[in-house]
Amino acid sequence: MSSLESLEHRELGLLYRDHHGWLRGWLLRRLAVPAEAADLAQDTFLRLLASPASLAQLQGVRQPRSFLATVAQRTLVDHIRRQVLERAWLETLARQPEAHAISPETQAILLETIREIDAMLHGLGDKVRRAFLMSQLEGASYADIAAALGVTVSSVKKYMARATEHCLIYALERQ
Amino acid sequence: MANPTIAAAAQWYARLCADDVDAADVAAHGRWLAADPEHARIWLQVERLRGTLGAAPARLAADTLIRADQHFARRRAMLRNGVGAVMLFGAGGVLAWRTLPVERLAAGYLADYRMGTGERRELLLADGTLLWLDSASAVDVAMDARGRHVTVHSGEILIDTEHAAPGLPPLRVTTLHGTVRPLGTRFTVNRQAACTRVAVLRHAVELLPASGASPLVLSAGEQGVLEASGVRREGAILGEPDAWTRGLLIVDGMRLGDFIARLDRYRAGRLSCDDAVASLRVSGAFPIDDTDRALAAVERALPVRVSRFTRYYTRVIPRG
Repeated sequence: MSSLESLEHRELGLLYRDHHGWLRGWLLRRLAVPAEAADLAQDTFLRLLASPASLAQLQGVRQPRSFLATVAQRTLVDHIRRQVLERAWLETLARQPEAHAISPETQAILLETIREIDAMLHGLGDKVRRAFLMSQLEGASYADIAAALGVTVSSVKKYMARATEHCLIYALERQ
Repeated sequence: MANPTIAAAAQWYARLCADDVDAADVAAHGRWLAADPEHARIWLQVERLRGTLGAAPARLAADTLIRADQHFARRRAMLRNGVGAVMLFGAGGVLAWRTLPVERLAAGYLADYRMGTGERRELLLADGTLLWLDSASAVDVAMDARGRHVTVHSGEILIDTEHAAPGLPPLRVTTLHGTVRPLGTRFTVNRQAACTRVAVLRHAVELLPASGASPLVLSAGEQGVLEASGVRREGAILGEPDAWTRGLLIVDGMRLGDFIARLDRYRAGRLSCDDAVASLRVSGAFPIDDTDRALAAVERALPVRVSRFTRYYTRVIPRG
């Protein structure tokens, strides 16, 4: 079938052939771990393959390397975010006196839930995100959140509405 | 495209979580929900969102996410500056633990709640019912054609329907052993392995055994037991069955064995009682957020000794 889709896939194949090695080097300069750079180069192409919007963009791209670098940058940031979350999770567990009571299986499930929350809140400003987490997970009052963030209670309420709307849109888009 | 119903649902949620939420807000929200099926459809997403958040261990998740934000800001700055992204995680960034013995959350969530040891929560359901969850308890809150429905898998809850919106289908509480139907009331439901104990603090409740045996109505001041064989009355309430919502265990002539089993729910690690002293009786008010203090008080009052084998294994044995 000579559909647009197959045309795009052929473009992607050419992109891969010509620039995969360059991309791995680009990532290696930022990660300093060869295996991770290779994985992330692969993930970058997979991300293109999974995203019709990015594939469509590929058609008109004049500077494929700068386009690839943009996508790779996002992949890299996501990768670091995952590492950072995992590290933060382990640090948090290490501070728990009863950490030994959480089985590795349960830990994995809890980390997945935390990742889900993190992904849901992705793209929100620091204060909005912090206000939402303090209210929803720590059970802090709006007054306490306002004091901690140095804003008014009515701002906290606005932050909460914004974060909730963001999460709802995230959930509805994924259905 | 901005969806006005999503924006409105988010505004409602922000209002219901506010410090000054009151019965009028809850009632107004109920009217908004009923006004349009689309409102209810979007609100279901809010309840799902609560489910996702509720599935996370609250303090662990908050600490992890806030800690991750701090690390992440540092690493992004390094990436921007073109420095190789060396992992830089210090032992610093110490966050003050927020010890919130009781968290108050407001809204009408359909969700599953799992309390950790020492964790308690107060929830305000959408119909105005107050639901308290005790340490180490697990419940599901759901809605079906017959109304709102709370399933208790373990631990203890307190329900207060005094401010529930009138005219809504009645709330039901079920366990493996049967169903508890409130008749305008405040009561506790304690799910144990072999039975479910119910204590009524105000008005009355109806107990319907899962076996289909005949139901029983308990009045204020009474307690009863739902079990495989049916339901039975267990006489007057001793102590204050809902004192845990205030961080206390208040008992009057309770068997030490039962008391220790109860205290075990609030303590990390295992706490047990030697049979030789299990029948001693204990009375008084004990702090549940500091079980060592509660045990010290028992040690002073009774001829027992608290033996700590390891930090996580504690046993109450005869003194001598």
